[in-house]
Amino acid sequence: MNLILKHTGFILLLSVLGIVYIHNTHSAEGKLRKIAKLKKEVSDAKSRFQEVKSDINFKSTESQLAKQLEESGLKKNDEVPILIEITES
Amino acid sequence: MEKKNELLLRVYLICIGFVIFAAMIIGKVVKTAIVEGDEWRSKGQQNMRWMNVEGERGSIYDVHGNLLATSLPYFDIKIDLLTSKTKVFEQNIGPLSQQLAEHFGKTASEWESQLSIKRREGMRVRRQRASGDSSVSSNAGFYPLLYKLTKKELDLLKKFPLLNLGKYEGGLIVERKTRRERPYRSWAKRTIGIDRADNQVGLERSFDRFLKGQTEKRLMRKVPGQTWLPMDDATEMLKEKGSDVITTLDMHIQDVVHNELESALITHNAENGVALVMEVETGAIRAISNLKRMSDGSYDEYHNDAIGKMTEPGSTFKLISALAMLESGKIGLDTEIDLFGGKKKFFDYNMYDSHRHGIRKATFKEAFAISSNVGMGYAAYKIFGKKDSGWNAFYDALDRMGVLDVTGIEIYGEKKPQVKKPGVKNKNEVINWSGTTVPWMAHGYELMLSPLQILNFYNAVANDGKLMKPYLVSEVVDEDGVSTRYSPKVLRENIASPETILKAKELLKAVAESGTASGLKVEGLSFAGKTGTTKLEYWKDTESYDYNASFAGYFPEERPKYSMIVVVYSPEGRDYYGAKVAGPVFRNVMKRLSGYEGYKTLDVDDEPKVLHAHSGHRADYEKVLDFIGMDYEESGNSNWAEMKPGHNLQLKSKRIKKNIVPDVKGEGLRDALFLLESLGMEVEVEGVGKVYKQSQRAGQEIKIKKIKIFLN
Repeated sequence: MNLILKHTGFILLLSVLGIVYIHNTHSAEGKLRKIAKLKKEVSDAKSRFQEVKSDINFKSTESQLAKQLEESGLKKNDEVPILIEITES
Repeated sequence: MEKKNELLLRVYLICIGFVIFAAMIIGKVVKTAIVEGDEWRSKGQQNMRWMNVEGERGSIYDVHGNLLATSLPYFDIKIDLLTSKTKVFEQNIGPLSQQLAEHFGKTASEWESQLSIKRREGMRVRRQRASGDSSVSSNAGFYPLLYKLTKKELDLLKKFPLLNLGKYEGGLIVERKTRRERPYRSWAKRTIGIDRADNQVGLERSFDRFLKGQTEKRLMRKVPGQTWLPMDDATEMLKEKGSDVITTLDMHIQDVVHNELESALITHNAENGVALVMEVETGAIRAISNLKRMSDGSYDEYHNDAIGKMTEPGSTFKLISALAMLESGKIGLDTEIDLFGGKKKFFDYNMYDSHRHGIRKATFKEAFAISSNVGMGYAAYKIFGKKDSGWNAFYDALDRMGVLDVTGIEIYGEKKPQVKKPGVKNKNEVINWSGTTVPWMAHGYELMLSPLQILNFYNAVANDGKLMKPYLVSEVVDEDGVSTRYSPKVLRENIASPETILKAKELLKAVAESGTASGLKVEGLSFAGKTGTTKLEYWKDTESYDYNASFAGYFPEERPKYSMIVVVYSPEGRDYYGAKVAGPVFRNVMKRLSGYEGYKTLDVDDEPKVLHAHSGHRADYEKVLDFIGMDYEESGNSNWAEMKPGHNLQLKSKRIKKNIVPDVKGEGLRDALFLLESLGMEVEVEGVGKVYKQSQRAGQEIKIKKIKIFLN
C-alpha cells in the first residue's frame, strides 16, 4: 500500500502520459484522414482543370476556331503572310 | 486510534475495489484475446486488407506542353433506391426526375416511372428475402443511374434533390474509375497510342514502362470515414505516379496536316492516306497523320501506315536511285540521255512514262524533272545493268546510303525495307535479280519501303547529306521532375558526297520549278520535292489500274526547315497523279506553315533564364568586391552567400540545410558541384556558364540522389 502511496506522483505522470499518447494518436490519425481527403480534393481539382484545359486547347486550334467562326463570316486568311526582315545597316 | 482504523478500512475498501476492477479488466483481456480471439481477428481483417495500389499513369505532351493523352477520372453512378425513406423518396422523385431530364436526357416521366418501378421491385425482393427466400438477388434496389460522368457532371449531380442527401439517406453511390483521354481526339491517334489491356499501340506501348505507375501490394487499414491508409507508413499515401512523356509532335502543325490530308482524301475519295512532317535539322517528327476511310465514309486513324505500310514507292524513289547514279560519277546533271519517246522495252517488258511525250534527247536533270521512268530506268541500266558486277554496285550503293536499314523510330511495327539482294534466291528457288531489276528499281518498283523511310532520305538531302534518326519523344520527366532527354541522333554523317547532295538538291528544285510539281508553286514561297504515282498490280493486264499518289519534299528550298511526305492510297476520283492528289496537300501545309516560327520546348519549371542573383562562396565575393572597391552590405556569416542588387549591393547569407535540395541557381559550376556533392547528391551537368535551372526544386527534401543542372 505504501508503495502505491509513495509513487502516486509517478503513477499520475504515467496516466497523464498515457492520455497524451492516446490523444496524440487520435489527432495524428485525424490529420492523416484530412491529408488523404485534401489530396483527393487536389487530384479532383487537377482533373477538372485538365478536363477544362484540354477542352480549351482543342477548341482553340486553328481548324476548330475556323469551324466555330464559319457562321459569323470570318475566314482564315488564305494569303501567304508577309515577313518583314530587318537587316541592320 | 478509532479514526486511524476507519481511515485504513476506507483505504482497504478502495484498494479492494481497484483490485476487483483490475481483475475484471485482465479477465476481459484474456477473454477477448484468447477465448474470442479468432472471431475478433477475423473481424479485424475487414478493416485491414492487402490492396493493389496502382500509381496513376503519366501523361503525354506535345512540344508546347499541350496534353495529348492523360488519365482522367470518370464516375459511374448507382443509386440504392431502398436507402431513402418512403416519404423522402416520394417528396423528391418528381424534382429529381426533372433535373435528370434537363441535364442527362430522357424525359422526366421516364425517369420517374423507371425509378419508382425499380424501388417497388426492390421492396418486394427485400420482403421475400426477409421471409427466408434467398434465391432472389441481394442487390435489389440498386439502380445504375448514369455512366461515365465527368467530375463537373458529378458535382452537378450531387446537388440534385434526393441525391444531395448523400449515401446514407439518399442512396447515392459513386464509383470512381479512370479512363485514358486524348484531348485532340483522332489527331495522331495511332502514334500517341491507345492504352488498353491487350494490344496497346503507339507511344502508349513503346513508353509503357515509363508511363505506367508502380503497382504494389500494400497492407491497408480502414480508419473511420471510409479512408484507407497504409499500415506501415501512413504518410506515404501517394503511390508512385508514372513518368510524363514529352513528344516532338506540334499540335499546330498536326492540325494543319490532319485537316489538309482529310480534305484531300475526301476530294479524291481515297482509301487511305498518310502525311508526315519532320524537322530537317533534328529528325523530330512534328506531325503524323494516318487516315483511313471507315465504313460510314468518314476518315479516321486506323493503322500507323506512315511507319508500317510497305509499298512500292514509285517515282519518289528516283531521288535515291539518282543519288546512287550521281555518286558513281558516271553521269552528271547535264549528261544527255535517251527517253525513247516515253516507251522502251527491256528484255520482255515494256516500260512507259506517264504519258507518251515523244521526247528523245534530254539531260539527266530534265528527265528527272518530268519524272521519266524510261530516262531514269535506262540511265540506271547503262550504269548498273551489267550482270553481277553492276548489280552488286547498285546494291552496295543503296546499302551505303542506309536504304536497307530501318529508321529505328520508337513505334513498334516498322519493317526492314524490302530490297532484293543480287544472287540470293527467293522462296521459289528463283534468282531474285534479273535484267529488268535495275531499271525497275531505279523508278521505284521491285522494292518496298514505308513512307517514313522514304521521307528520311528527302530529309537527309535537305540536311546536307546528314541522315538523322526520326524520333517522337524528346523527354521523359518523372514524378519528381527529374528528366531524361533524348537528343537527336545521327544515323549516317554523309549519305553521299557533298557535291552529289548539291546535285540532288538541284534535281528536286528543278521538279518544283519546271517539272511535274511546277503547278504547286506559291508566290513568295520556295520548295523542292518529287512527285510519285505508283501503279498498283502493274503486271496485270487490265483496262484500269489502281494508283498510289505521293509527294515528298522540303521547304523552304534555300534553308530547309521541314521535310514532308504525303501518300494517298487508291484515289478513286478522276485524278490519280502525285502532283494532282498528294502535291496540293504539301502545298497547302507549306502555305499555312509559312511564317510559323517553330516552337519552344517545354521547361521542367517555367523559370526565366535571366538571373536576378548570383551566389557562391562568400570569401570569393568579398575578395572580388574588395578588389574592385565596390560598396556592399553584408549580412549573416555563413560560408555561402548570395549577391543581390538592391539600394546597395547586398551580400546575404545563403541557407544550406542538410537533406534539403539547395537553390544553386546563379552559381557557377564549381560552386554548384561542390555544394550539391557535399550534400551527397549525384550531379549531371548540361551546358556551360551559370546554373539557370535545376531538375529538383529547391527547398524540397532530398529523396533522390540524382540531380541535373542546366547552365546557360
